[in-house]
Amino acid sequence: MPKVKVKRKSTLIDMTAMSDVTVLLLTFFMLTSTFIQKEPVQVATPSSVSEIKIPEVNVVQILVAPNGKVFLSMDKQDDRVAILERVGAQYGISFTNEELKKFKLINSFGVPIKNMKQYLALETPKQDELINEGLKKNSRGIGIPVDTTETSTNELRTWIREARLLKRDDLALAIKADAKTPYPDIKLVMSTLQGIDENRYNLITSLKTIKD
Amino acid sequence: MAEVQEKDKGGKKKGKQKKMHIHVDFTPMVDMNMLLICFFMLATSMSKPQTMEIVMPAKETKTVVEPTKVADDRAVTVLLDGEDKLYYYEGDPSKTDPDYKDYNTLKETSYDAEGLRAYLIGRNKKVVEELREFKNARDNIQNQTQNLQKQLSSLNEKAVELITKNKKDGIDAALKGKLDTIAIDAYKKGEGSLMDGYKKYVNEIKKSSDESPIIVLKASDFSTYENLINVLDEMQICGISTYAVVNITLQDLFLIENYKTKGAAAQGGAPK
Repeated sequence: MPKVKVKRKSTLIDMTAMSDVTVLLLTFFMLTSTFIQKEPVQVATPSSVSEIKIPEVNVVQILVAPNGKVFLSMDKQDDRVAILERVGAQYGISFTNEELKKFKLINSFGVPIKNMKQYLALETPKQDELINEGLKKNSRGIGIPVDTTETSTNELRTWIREARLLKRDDLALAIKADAKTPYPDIKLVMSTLQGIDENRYNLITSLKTIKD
Repeated sequence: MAEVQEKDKGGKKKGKQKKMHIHVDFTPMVDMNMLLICFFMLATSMSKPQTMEIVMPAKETKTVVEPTKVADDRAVTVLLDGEDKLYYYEGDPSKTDPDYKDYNTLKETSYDAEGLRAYLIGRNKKVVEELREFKNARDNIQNQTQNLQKQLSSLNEKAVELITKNKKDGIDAALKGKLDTIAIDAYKKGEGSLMDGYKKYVNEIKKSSDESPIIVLKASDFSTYENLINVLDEMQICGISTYAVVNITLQDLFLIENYKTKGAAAQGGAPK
């Protein structure tokens, strides 16, 4: 029997094409992506059939945790700092440049204004820890104070009013709340907004289709 | 990682340049790209969140409350209670008292399609039908415009082809780009103003009927945010233009209590 010569085939696969594809995909993702903003609490928004998209810029978002704690987030860093200064002035607190710089980087915040200095002095991991602990214990040191009054104890009122004064007409308000939030907590936020004549705002929901 | 393979044919033909086969191994590159893609896929949010717009009534103390010119038989009060319970009664309690004695004044319903939605669609038949007709017509037109759009773009391509043929020296990229932007611009402008027009028309339809119900939403302290959103959703589905979220009153709570106890609470007399 004659020997069959087995031809040795190279196992090298040309990866150039594959590389091309991945680079294209990567470019696509890099260009289309907007990063998920870090939020102090994960909320599951209720679903709705409404298909309106939220405006992209100049949105002040009021985040309501399932236990009623209120957090605020604003999208423009400079506005955020300007509003902090204005709110600080209302309560007779002035912030150093160092503190303002730190505040600039915090996307979402929720501490009473009297604790803000302490909060800003902490490192970022410590800040997160403080928020998480506070949420678990339902402590008073966490969340922007909201109440039924129309005085300075209602700090959410001050924040929103100052934001409105700064941005005038190009400011949209949005409420993002967990589906399981009890209605009284939402009512508190809504009536606070009502108290400063903010009668038009968005409720953030996720999409669902009509079931017939 | 680049391999340079030299193939030497024993130097039979002298003077000919040696062929260099440069083969770069792209596997690590692909690995790295895959990792990056994974990162971007996980760290990004592709879709913007949906919202629903809500307009709350202005504060009562600040505005003079106009006596509403609403016929009493158009008003429906919806009560949201805990444990996903939903009730409604007809009539406006600020004008005429509902029958507190009879626990059947309050009707229990649900968040399902057969519950509140069926009732409201029944009350708002005219508007709902008009809305449905409008939507069908709109979809029809949109399909037609899309077809036209396709035809237009193919015509556009043909035009570019012709031009390039005439020019013979390759595609005039600038011209092609310009033609494309014009087409896209025209399309976008058309659609944008179209959407606004549609929205206005929908609102007109919603307001046209003078029989469609006017809803007063009252949420008790036991209800959740989800309940509220669900009911607001029903308003949108049923094409109701006039509704308001107001505070729940003691009378309403009494009605719920009375319904739950099947009239036992009414023995003590109506609440004041």
